Amino acid sequence: MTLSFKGYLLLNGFLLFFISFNNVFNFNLIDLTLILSILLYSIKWNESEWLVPLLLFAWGIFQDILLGMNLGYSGSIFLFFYVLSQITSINGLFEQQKIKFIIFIIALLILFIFKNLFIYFNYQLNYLSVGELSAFLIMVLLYPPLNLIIIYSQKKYEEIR
Amino acid sequence: MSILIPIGLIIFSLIFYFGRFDNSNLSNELRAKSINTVYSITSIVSSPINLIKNGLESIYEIQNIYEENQRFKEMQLLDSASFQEMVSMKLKIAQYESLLNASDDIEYDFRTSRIVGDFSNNFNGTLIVNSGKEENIKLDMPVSGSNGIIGRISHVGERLSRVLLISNINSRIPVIISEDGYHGMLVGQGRENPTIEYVEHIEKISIGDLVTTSGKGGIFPPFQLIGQVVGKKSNEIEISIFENIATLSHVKLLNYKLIKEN
Repeated sequence: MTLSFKGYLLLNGFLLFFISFNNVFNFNLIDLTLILSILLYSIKWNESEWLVPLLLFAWGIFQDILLGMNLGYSGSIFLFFYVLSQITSINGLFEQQKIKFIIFIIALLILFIFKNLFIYFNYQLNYLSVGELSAFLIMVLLYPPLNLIIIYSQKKYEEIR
Repeated sequence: MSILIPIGLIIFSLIFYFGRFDNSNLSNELRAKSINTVYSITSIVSSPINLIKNGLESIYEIQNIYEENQRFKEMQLLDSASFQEMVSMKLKIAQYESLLNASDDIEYDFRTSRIVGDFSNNFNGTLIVNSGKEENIKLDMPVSGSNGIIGRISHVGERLSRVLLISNINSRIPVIISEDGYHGMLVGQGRENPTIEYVEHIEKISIGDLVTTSGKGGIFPPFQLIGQVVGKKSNEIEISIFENIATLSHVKLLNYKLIKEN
């Protein structure tokens, strides 16, 4: 997807709107950061896009300040799924939804393992729990419908253009 | 080539995150200054959704108004009996202190503040409250709800402050368990109930024992309720905190200080 100036404005507006959801919704089992990452992963970005990663990094810092997380947490997650989207696109796997889904599950698993290992070694805390596993499963279940919505929206956008 | 930019940014973010550069004084200052701006922007953007959410919650509350009323009537009876008990206990304690010639070295008042942001659903659980430097709020002030301690102030901005909750994995609070006064350290566990570690004579702790602050470290005043024991393992105790943070709308910021001897 090639972004015009209006596209960048829309993207920034959408990211601001979505991050602001954190003020309103406070679900135990649904992580809004990961939902936004699903959306970023589902979009087919232009391969020569260089401004979008910088924007994602900046919005990640913005969200970290809002949530009180250590700076770099949200940005690294957003960029991780953005890079995955680019890699699937470069290797011609973007249209193959089943393979994309498997890659997504593996990436999510890596993220969860990494996060729990970090917490374990830094805080001597076993953070893995039923709540964490439930959150993981919910993200896996949310991927197909959100992916469909993004694919449909992108096709409509391309048709209009 | 263009994929190197996001990969480079990921590496930079990870260095930023693991390097914990935001624990420095400068970073804390910048963070405290920026929270006002960040929160103001996001609260404006989310205000329509907030209105809808509050509207739906009001409808739900109206539906349950009869049951709430019955519950309040029952609580009133209990409260008056509890109040009598509390008054007589306070009088007894004052008498014992006078007999023992014990010094009263603790005093604190408090300020009530409204919760404007609830981010308690992750391992870095925090709240944002509507008080800051303008209202003389200071770093490390203890924060409590109506039923017990919930955390302490971790960042102070001009008009907003951040509360580090008990459930936050960075939270460590010295506590006392049961009337026998066993000391331990309350450690936040994120989503799960907090646990108490470094407890001597763990075998003497029973399920249902009360957990209060010990006052060690000088941040929390002593004997403030936190929760009660709900589980025991070989080297740690699981507690359930009394306060239900999800239902809180206001908190007390305790202006706790030790009386200096003349």
